[in-house]
Amino acid sequence: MKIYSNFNKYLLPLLNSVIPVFLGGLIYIAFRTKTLIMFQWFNLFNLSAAVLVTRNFTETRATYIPTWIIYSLPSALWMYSFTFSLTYIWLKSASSLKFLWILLPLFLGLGSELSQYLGWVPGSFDILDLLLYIFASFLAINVTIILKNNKGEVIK
Amino acid sequence: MKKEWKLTLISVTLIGFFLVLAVGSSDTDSDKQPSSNTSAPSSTSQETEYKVKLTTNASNIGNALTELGELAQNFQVSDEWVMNAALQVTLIRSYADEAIVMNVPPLYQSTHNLYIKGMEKYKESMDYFVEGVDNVDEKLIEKASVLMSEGAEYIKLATVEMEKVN
Repeated sequence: MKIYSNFNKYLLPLLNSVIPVFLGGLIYIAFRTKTLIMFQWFNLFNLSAAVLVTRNFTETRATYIPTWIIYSLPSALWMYSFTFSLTYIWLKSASSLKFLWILLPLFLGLGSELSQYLGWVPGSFDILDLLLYIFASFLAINVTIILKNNKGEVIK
Repeated sequence: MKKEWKLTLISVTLIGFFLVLAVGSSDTDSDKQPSSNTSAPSSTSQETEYKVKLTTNASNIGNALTELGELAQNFQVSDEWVMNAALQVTLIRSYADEAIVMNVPPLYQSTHNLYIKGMEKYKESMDYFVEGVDNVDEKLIEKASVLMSEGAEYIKLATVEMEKVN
């Protein structure tokens, strides 16, 4: 009997789009400065206590974590989720605009880094962020292609 | 055509969602950054200007941290102590912000990133320090002290890397 793999069909795409951005969010909550806008949102939703408990546990351990994980990886994870989601939607489309949609997150990411470099927007330019954006985007597109090609694969 | 319209709608929703996440991860203090001068000076003078500004900044924040450290060691429940501590906290935050929004020549970008990480640690430590003093909570003050040490580590690292660049 042939059984379609629901894991491949639904769960893997969902995990690829949700888990990375969730992990990135956790890194922000646990290790980044509390002046980020998201902390104001947490206050608004009465989540400050949960945030404080998490930070109590993590803040002394931050020293042992490489700085690129704290400062560059979350953006790359955001890029991965974003690119994966749009690629998953548009990959098999016949639309002439599909490549624009697929590459839109990368354009936004590179644009924001470039703007920081030129001093047009606040923040500091980091070449590592740029490289990780490109890598995450490339990885997301390839993972989507693999998943899409294996969609409907049979498990014996 | 209808299908493409549907895909567009989903995509626009997703873009909105991811942009909200991006906004959430931006720093409120960065909003205070004045728009930078787009007519960049020559590379050498820009680097010299940066080095002067950074040295002054490091010296200023160092003095404020020392003052605050001395105050913390002689904790008193008095208005004068609170006023002095509040002044140093304000100065530290302000110097940290100054470093974060500083115009950095490409040559010093990576070392400045380390410096900024140190500044962020200092700013975060100030949050804990203020909360700790307000609630007379030694644990919070201790956390502030840990964060300050972490900040100092970054500054040390930035200095070492900067010496290599120079």
